[in-house]
Amino acid sequence: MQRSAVFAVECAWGSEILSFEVLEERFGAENMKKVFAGSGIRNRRIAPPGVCGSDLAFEAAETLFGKYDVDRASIDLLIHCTQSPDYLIPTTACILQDRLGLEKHCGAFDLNLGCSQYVYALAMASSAIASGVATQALVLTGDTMSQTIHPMDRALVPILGDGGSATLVGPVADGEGFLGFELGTDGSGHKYLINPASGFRVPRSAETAMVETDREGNVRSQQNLFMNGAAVFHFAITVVPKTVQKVLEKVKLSMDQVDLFLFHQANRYMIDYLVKKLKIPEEKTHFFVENTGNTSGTTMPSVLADAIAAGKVKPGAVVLMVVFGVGLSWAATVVRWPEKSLPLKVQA
Amino acid sequence: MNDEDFLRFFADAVGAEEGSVTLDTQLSTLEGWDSVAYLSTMIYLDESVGVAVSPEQLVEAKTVADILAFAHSPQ
Repeated sequence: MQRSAVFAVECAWGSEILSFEVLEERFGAENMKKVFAGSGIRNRRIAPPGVCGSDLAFEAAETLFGKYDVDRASIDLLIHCTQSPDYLIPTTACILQDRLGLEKHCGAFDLNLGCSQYVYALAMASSAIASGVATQALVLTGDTMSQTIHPMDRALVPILGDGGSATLVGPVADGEGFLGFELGTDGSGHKYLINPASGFRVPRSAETAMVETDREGNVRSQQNLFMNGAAVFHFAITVVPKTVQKVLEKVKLSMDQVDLFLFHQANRYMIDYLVKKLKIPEEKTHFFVENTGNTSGTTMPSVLADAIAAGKVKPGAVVLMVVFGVGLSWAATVVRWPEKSLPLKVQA
Repeated sequence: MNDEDFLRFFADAVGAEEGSVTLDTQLSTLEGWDSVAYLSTMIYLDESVGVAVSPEQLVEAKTVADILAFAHSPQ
């Protein structure tokens, strides 16, 4: 079985900054003080109108290709993760294959998951390489969730940002790379994080566009994203520790043998709690949420890229990534960072 | 955690004066019993008795004593 690993990862975030000060004016200083204390998010990176998640994924991919001198012809699988596609039809991954100048022998598809998308996509890329379906895969994430929320929803506006990423996944020697995955789903919680009138089940109408204010003062319509924060928090603190244990059992490693634990950067409050509950020393984790906001599926490649830049991911290091969110859906993987991770070149 | 510990924590979580909240206090009378207080209650109980009371249970609870009952008899 051909093993695989992350060769390189690059990110791009929305070009505009929605600052703490702007939101203080919108929601009041007292509210924002509370929000910052809980979320650890000061500024949010927002994509301006007209910019789609795929534009951020494209930007990240171009950076990755340039920086690592990637031969585009060597990529034979493109997985694009998004919940804010360019169109419902056709698949955005097909448009990206063309925009990025990838070969026509490259398979391409979208993966519709939110915060858990990145590790799911890594699982699909790793499986495709293991089975010989692909040799080198490009995993893209790209979402502009800020465009799905009502500007006066004070539960979500201070939290969410827009971002995209590009990750090259390629073959490595036995014993290196992805050691195992643990995936999970609890669809009974789909109602806790939902954009109700966003598909075919609830067609958009004048009625679904009507704006309402809930008892905590959050404003939204049926066409906006809704989150039951307490329910999602409860889900995270019950599911994440079990998932970490399960994936470690699967790969036969103990907590002590992991060099770095990376969590979906939902908000600082939640990650701090998970780190404490799992008794992880602070130097064995990494945070990246304060100046981007929660960028849905792009938080994991963002925190990974930042940890690599900070020198926390050395060759041979064991890295555990765990993601969780809308669906409800979750995934974890354990990776032994390869000694050498260079993009493949196509044989002349 | 005993009842006094929880009442002390809970009064602070809902922004009430210490001693003003009892086991019989109706949650609907507490202005600060909002989603932020739900989160801190969930965490407090998860840490002190190892039970993360669900948001459905927190909505169902009528009094402070009801919350403690859920924490002591997990589903």
